[in-house]
Amino acid sequence: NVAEYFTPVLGSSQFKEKGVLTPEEFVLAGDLLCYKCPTWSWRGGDSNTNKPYLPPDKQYLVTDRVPCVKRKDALEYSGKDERVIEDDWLETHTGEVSQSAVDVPDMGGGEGPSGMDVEGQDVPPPVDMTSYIKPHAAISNDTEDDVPDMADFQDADNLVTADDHTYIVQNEPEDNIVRTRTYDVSITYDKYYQVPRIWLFGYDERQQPLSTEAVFEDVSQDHAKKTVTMEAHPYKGGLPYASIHPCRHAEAMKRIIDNVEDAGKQLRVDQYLFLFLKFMSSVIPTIEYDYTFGVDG
Amino acid sequence: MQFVPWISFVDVSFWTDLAKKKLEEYKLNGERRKLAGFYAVGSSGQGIREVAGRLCVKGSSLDADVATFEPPAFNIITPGSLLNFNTIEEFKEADKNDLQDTAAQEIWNDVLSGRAEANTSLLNRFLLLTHADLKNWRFYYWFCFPAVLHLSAMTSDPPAPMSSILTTADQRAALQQAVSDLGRPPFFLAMASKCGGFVEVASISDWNAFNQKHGNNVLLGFMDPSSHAQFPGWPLRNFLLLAAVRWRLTRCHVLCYRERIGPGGLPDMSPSIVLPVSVTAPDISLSAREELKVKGLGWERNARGSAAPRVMDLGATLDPRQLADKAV
Repeated sequence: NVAEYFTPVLGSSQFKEKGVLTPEEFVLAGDLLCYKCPTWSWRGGDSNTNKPYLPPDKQYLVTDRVPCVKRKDALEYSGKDERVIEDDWLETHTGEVSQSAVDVPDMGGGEGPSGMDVEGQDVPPPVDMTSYIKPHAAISNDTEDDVPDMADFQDADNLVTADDHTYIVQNEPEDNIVRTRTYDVSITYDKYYQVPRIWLFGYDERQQPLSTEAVFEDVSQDHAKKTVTMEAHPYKGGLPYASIHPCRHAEAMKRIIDNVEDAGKQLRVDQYLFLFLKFMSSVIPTIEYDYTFGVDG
Repeated sequence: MQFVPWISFVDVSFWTDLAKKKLEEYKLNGERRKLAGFYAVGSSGQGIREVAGRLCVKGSSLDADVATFEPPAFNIITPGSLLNFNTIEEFKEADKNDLQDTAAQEIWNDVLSGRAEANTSLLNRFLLLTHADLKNWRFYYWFCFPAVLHLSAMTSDPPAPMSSILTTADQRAALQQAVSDLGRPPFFLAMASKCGGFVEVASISDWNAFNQKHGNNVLLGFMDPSSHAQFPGWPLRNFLLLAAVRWRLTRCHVLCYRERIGPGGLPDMSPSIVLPVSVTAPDISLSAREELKVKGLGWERNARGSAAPRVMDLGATLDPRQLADKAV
């Protein structure tokens, strides 16, 4: 029985009383999460970042490239941003401009694919993204001059890129692949607050890292910029990650644990991270990492 | 017949590690380096929205041997090579057609020699050109997913749902287990008994025995990164070439193995499709084949659909100057 195997000896555990975890309990809960949800896995850091109170190969938990299809705003989608573009395609969310889309310097000579023949029907040409491009604010003028003019890439004209009959080109807005942001999600143990702490690193539809502002689009308004901040990830050499500050986690977890117990269910400490992820999903409602299931005593 | 091209994905750790290695280890040495890429199969259907399996590289992919590289759970490893150019001019002037043809030629040679049957991931080889502008934290890159061009005519009928061949849930579970037991290779052989119940899978290298045993019931299976309802992913191109050239297959059924993440984070292969395919192998003598110069195909288009590279701008994320500006 797996559950028995993972059931800890509860020593000085205070998870029911205070909603906190010991490092040992964090490891147990992480083991169960990885066992039940194999998309999660343990990572070790290196000798500079490893914390002595956790096993070297079980420092933090990760799951990468979690899709995030809808913006938080889109959860209350009104239709006001729709406009009909050519050939009766409906373009939605026209008011929504991905902040990082502007980071892409012009790389092409405008040599986009024209309508490809798919199943005998003409696919509309791709939406002209230039209307989405705003001047780049983050890069100062002196670096702007250094951007090579990629439009003079000679290959664009003579490169064999397709025998066009076999090449499916997936265009906006018809497919949601390009509309999908992804997040690398990790969970570390916060020694001070004695709770797990969640970290997010996002990529936009063009696979550019998301700016802080863009990440906040995926965070519940009640939390953006208050409990969610950009900080250096403890194991990722200074890369700034969005993190939900753990100062209220214990309190919130204690409430959730009480509710579950009031409903007559017995909780084990190794189930802590399942509850924790459900709690996190109220803060980051659009990230579809929650493949977990109800805690069934 | 149409194929959904690969979509690349570069983890930010790849760029931070490349920057470090460029400064400390590679310096001006621009020789070809090993890369270990990985991809997940495509998913579609309920629950999580459709996401195509992308071909990913991350920091630990650099100089990594595919034999020892550990990909994320349920991902499939694929071998690549990296050409990092010291200047943007070199990056631009590299002969892209030649690189793509050379890569296709390697695949063609591996198909003819049988190496690709012993190690099927060779069919999924990829090439990555990069230039790291470390002053501005900008990284130019261009993926090539080479396919051998114009050597066989391929047509397909509309796909059938996987349940048309694997009729029972038990069969599907058995197949999923068997593919997993085989180590989730990128390409495999499968057979499902028409009367239900019986399922068998085998490595590509066991073609002769498997084909003799099951004849027309053999399915060509491949880990399909596509989530498109009708069209298979790019890896099938070179696989069909192999089947036509080495096994003289003309008609076959292809199992496009796809998964979605089901309850509890466990994969579920029910989005898979079965594709009836006809292939015509090139009608040339063996010796002529060995001397054949093949054409390649496969440079990835950028986010605008152009035949041009992509650029990753990490200035706002990593450039100390820009971070200092923002922090004021």
